[in-house]
Order: sequence, then structure tokens, then C-alpha cells
Amino acid sequence: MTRSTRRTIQQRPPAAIVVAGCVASALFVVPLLGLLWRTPWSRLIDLYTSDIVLDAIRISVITSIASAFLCVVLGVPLAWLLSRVEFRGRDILRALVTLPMVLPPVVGGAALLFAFGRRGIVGEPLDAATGFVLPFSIWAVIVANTFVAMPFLVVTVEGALRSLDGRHEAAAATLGASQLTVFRRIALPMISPSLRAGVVLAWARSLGEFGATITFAGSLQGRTQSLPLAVFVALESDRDAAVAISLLLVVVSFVVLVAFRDRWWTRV
Amino acid sequence: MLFGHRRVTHAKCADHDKLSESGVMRRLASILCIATLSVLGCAGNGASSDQDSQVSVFAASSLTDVLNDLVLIFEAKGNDVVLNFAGSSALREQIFDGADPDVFISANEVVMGEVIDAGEHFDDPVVIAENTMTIAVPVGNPAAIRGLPDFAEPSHTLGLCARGVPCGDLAAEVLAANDVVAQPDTLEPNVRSLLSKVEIDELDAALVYRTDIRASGDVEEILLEPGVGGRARYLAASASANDAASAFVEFLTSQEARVVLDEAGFVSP
Repeated sequence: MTRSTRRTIQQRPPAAIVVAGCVASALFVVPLLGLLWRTPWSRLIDLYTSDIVLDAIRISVITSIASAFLCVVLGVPLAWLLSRVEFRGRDILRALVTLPMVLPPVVGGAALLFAFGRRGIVGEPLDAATGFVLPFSIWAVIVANTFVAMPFLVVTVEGALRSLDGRHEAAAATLGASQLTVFRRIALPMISPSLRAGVVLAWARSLGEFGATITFAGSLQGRTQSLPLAVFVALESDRDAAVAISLLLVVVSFVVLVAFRDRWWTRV
Repeated sequence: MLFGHRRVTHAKCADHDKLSESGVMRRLASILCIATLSVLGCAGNGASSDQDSQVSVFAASSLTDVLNDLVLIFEAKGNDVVLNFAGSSALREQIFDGADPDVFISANEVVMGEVIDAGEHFDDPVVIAENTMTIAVPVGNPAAIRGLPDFAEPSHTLGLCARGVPCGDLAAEVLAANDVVAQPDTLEPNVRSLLSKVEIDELDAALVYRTDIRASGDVEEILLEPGVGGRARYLAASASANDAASAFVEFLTSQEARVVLDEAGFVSP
């Protein structure tokens, strides 16, 4: 928090900026109030212990953690390549990697289906060779989550790697450390606050993932129906349940973001 | 949604006063109410001049294409129609939230009954069309689907609409009535997302409305065996004492409208 104190202004802030800031804040706060307003407090325990919600929690926990894990295992090496290696098409690759952040997730889901569906360019040979079909399985949920969440990790980690003072790495290299050792022993520990921030962001993004999942994995209770999918289906049939699940997602995401943000962001 | 907003906010303000426990919440609520009322009040004055001839219609989303065609014909007779499409139960929630359509068209008799029973001011509903359930398969029917019993076969990749969505409720009804324990791989939140998965051959078969197949070029239809049921009735109700609204519902039951409905795959009641 030391940094933010340093930036604090002692004078009264300009009214126009305060007004705009209040309107901006209201945009985030008022919908939350609306959600709290609609929350069926007395039914909450019953709703949270219903089969549909428990199944959805299980699917969401498994898939969001699995995809956060994949994001780290695959995303950190990618971030390192993008930040440390000069190669042709690097800028294009970097743009492609961040594309899922701005693309409507439904588009991503459809693209995944065309690639890894049983009639997809990769999916069809995979099905023929192994009999493994990705869509409509929990693996599809994990892949969809990873697809939309990994950019958050890659962008965070790559930014940290690029802004790292190169002298430590250079010193280690002149002392005979291999590139892999330098990465593991020098770079990784130095960027660990960013890495953790990236993991939390990627995890939170995959917890809230909806569009790509419904398109690529479908929705089936106990197999592919995560919490956001359960919200969407419940909106049609049992709105109390939809509001209750939404509240759960809001609270969990909020707690995680608050807890980790102040701890890690400000130190970066 | 623009219609019925003034009523919405009035109702909400009353609710807020009744329900809120803490002073802070009450103060916040009243600030919000005043803010929205003043904004909507201004907007309302400007729009009121042509409100008499404008008919707002809430209709089940499976009617989207055909109703757009029908409205063009009806509007040629002088009235403006504003359409709002969503699943019947979603529309019910909007109405309960205070949206105030002139005409409500439901794909589900139970939903219509709930709206009428809740004291919303509608005249008795009339049947405007019927739709039948059918099986959609990818072009060429690669999994050789033959009928309803195939939906109990776990080796097929099968899709249905979710419960709470009209096509899902009707599918569940048809399957249960024929003692078929379905083994779906996905329960889609709407018929479009279901059919698109059949179109690209990711699903072997799906239970949908006949009219949905007509609207989608890239799937084939396997008719259900005779006698398995699966008919849905579309009901339309006009707001009480609203001439333009009842004229629209009357138009929907006319011979002129029938032709358009038949063409879209609906069955005359």
C-alpha cells in the first residue's frame, strides 16, 4: 500500500472527476445491490444444498482449478518465449494469444468445436485414432476455461518478465547457469508476485466462464454444468436458485480478488 | 424493454418501502426510485402521443421468424407493433416484474395459466397455432436414428433442450409418456444452440419443434412415430379493454395469418 499513499493528493479533487468517478462506481455497485435485493435469504441454505447446486459447485471447483493449473504449466513457458526469444511472427502470436480476452466467448466456443469437435480438424483424427471425443465431457469444460483464461496469465507474466532487470539473469548466465536454470532460479522467483496475480486472475476468469463452455461442452448436470451454466438454466425455471448461485459466484470472486489483490498487485 | 416502465418503477418503490429493514437501504432505495422516476417521467411524456396505435407483443422465441412476417402484414393495416421475444417462462418473469405488454403469446399452456392466475389483466387466451415435436438429425443421418427409443441409447450423442425451456419441457413430457429414459449428453438452454450442434454433426439427434427444423436448412427431420404425442399449443392473450391488442390477436387467428403459419411448419388448431 506504500505506493498508493505516495500518490494520494491532499487538495480537494475536481468536482467533474468526482462525479464521473461516482457514476462509474455506481455502474458496478448498483447491479450488486440489485442482486442482494433479490436474494432469497430464507431459502439460501436449501438452495445451496440442492443437488443441482452441489453438482455445479463440484464441476466448477474441478474445472477452474484444473484450468488454472494448465494455464501455469503451458502459459508460463509461452510468456517466457514471448518475452525472451526473438522469432518471426512474435507480435502476431502475441496478438493471437490475447484474442480470447476480447473475443465473445461464444465465438471461442464455436471455434473450439470446429477444431476439437468430433468433426473438427483435430477432433476427427483424434476420434478415429483413440475414440476420444472431447465435446460434452468435463475435459471440454477445462479446455474452454483454459482457452479464455490463459491470456490473463500470459499477459501478466510476460509483462513482468519484460520489465525485469536483465542484469541478474545475465550474471547467472556468465556464472555458467543454463537458460533453464536461470529461468527457474532467477526469473521465476523475481516475478512470483505477478505469477500469483496471473494465476488468480486466470482462475477467477475460468470460474466465471460461460459462453465458450456452453458452446463447446454443452450443459449437463454433474458432467459439464458449472455454476455459470447452472445460473443460466435456472433463470428459466427457478429464479431464486439463479440469484443464489450468482451471489455465491460474486462473493467467492470478490473475496479472492480482494484478498489477493492488495497482497500482490501493489508489490509488483 | 421500454414499455410499462413507469408501472415497474412504481411497483418497485412500494416494495422497497415495505421490505427494507435498515435506514441506509431505505434511503438508497428512495434515491434510486426518484432518479429512475424522473428519468422515465421525461421519456414517458414524449412517447405518449402515439401509444394508442402501438401494440407491444411479448412472444415465445420459437415464433420469432413467423411473427416478424405476420407483423409486416398487420402493420400494413395501420398499427405499429413492437415485438419482444424470449422463452415463455422468461417472458412470464418479465411480466411479473412489471413489464406490461398488450399481447402475450406463450408456447406453454401452464405458463399462460400462471400469468392469467396471477391477476395480470388479460382476456381469455386463444389458441393461434400448434407445433409438433420431431427429431432433428445431421444431414444423411449418420447415426441411423429411427425414432424416440434411440434417445435411450447411451452410445449415441444426444441433445435436448433444458427443462424450463418449452422444447425441453415438451421433450421430457413425450419421453416420459413413452417410457423412454433419455441419455442426453447436453441439455441446451435454447433451441438454436441445440440445433446448431446438430447442424455441424456434433450431436446425433435432438428433440426439437418441427418449425425449428423448417427454419434451419442444414438438418434432416425424422418424424416421431404416430401416437407418441408431443403437440404444443401456442396461446395468445390480449390485454383487457385494449382494441388494438385484441385486433392483433384476432388477426393471428384469421385465414390470412393461417397461411403464413402453415408455411412455417405450424399446424392449424
